[in-house]
Amino acid sequence: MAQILVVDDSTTMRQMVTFTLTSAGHEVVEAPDGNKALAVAKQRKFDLVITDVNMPGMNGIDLVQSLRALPECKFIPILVLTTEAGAELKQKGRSAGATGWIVKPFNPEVLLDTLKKVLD
Amino acid sequence: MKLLRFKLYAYRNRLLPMFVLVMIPWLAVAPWAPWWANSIALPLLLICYWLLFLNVLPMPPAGRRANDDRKLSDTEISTLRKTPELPAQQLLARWAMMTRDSKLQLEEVDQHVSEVMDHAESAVVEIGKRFVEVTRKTRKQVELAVGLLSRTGGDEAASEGKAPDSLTDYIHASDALLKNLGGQLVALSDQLANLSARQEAVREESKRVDGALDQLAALASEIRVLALDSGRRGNADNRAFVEMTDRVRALSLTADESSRAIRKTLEDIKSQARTTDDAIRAIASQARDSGRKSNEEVTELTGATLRKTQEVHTALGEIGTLGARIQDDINQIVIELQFQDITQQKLQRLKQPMISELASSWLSIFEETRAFNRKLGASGADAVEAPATPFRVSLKKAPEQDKSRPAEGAKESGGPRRDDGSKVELF
Repeated sequence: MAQILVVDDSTTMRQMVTFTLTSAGHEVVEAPDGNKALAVAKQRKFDLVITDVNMPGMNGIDLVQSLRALPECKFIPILVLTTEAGAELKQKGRSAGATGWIVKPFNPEVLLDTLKKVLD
Repeated sequence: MKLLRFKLYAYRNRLLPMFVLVMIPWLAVAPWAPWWANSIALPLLLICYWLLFLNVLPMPPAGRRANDDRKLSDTEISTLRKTPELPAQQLLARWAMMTRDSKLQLEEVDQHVSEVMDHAESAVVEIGKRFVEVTRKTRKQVELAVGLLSRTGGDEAASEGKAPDSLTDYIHASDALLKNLGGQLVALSDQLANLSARQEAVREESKRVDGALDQLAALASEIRVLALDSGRRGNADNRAFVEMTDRVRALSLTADESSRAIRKTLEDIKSQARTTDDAIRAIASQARDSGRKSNEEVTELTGATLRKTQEVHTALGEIGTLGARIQDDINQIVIELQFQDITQQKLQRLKQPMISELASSWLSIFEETRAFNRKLGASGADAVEAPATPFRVSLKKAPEQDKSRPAEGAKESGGPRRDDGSKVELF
């Protein structure tokens, strides 16, 4: 089972993602924004990061860039979970180093399937 | 000047014919009048025309405009337009009051929206927590129920290295034990039957001994007869021989008595053996019957138990199917909660800029109104009940200013999409 960092400013959304992941047996750590997520990622190693884009302080794209700059997060999968579906923003995320892009609202089964794919 | 400009604009198409009409009398006499009369009459005529236009010609009725107050009648609007300075002060006073009322309403709306959003957020968080607890408990129940029939005691037992036997295993073990017991009973009955056969053999042997005793008794009888005959014939000849025959006869009698005693003992043994044999046969038969019956009952009971277990298994399968459906429902609830959250976030992101923009507009209008009111003079300023300081709309618990707004996609397309599945793209 994987150690996963979930970053979202919405408590409800974090709760939904955490519920889905813990139900599948994963261990989840939550962070409400990019800065706190970066601080947590520096202290602990994760197998996967799931982040929102629109967040106060550091947004999701900047977070992906900052995580990729960390040696311990250079090769871990980072999924962007957001309501944004624009091609330009997706391209930004891809350039920043995101592994995948999931558009909200997510289906729990689809999320778990995607996790399995990227973790394998 | 405004009145003149308004009249000139209103009568712009009739200015020339009216001028011509006024000039016609002068034009009629001008060729015969002296030059000095014409030079005096022409300016007088123009002045007369001007005075007629300004003071005699009525104000043309103006049509209603889109921004006219609907509560006012056409006559009132016309009157207001004829005397714009005084109504302007009234309008400004009304405008200031409306501005103040609007400010209060705006603050109230802002407060209500904030409260509603807070309540909605806390409700969703609470629903989420309860929902998570309910699903955990349901999963635990199903795991425990399945663990009763499955090889392992659920995920927890498996993780702890414990793998207790299932109910089915216990039933099978009990069945094996009972069958073993039945088998042992059958074996016992077989052994008893064997014992009975051996008893029968003993009885047969005793019969043979009985035959031998018969022969012995017959032999003793013949010896006795022979001894009597020898004694009668040898009475005179030999006294010793007589004594011997007496002894032989005595021995024969003794042998006869002994054979009788042995026969009697054998009869007793046979009788007891027969009784024992009957008892053993009865016991063996009873044990065999009991064993067979026990086996049949155990088989029947085991079959019934297994059938019941199968029913339980089927019921658990249905529970599992229902669990899968519950999982689908849970997934749907998760999606709906996300829709709610997305909508709430969108509302939060729209609320502050929209209300700030509205407040800014009201403030600008208020400032312009106050400046305009000052220009109208001291009396106008007294008439307007303007607030001392410009208002500010307080945005309670609004999201941060620097939070970026959605650039495109669902948030800008008029709300979240109502599809059920997330769109995934792996780079």
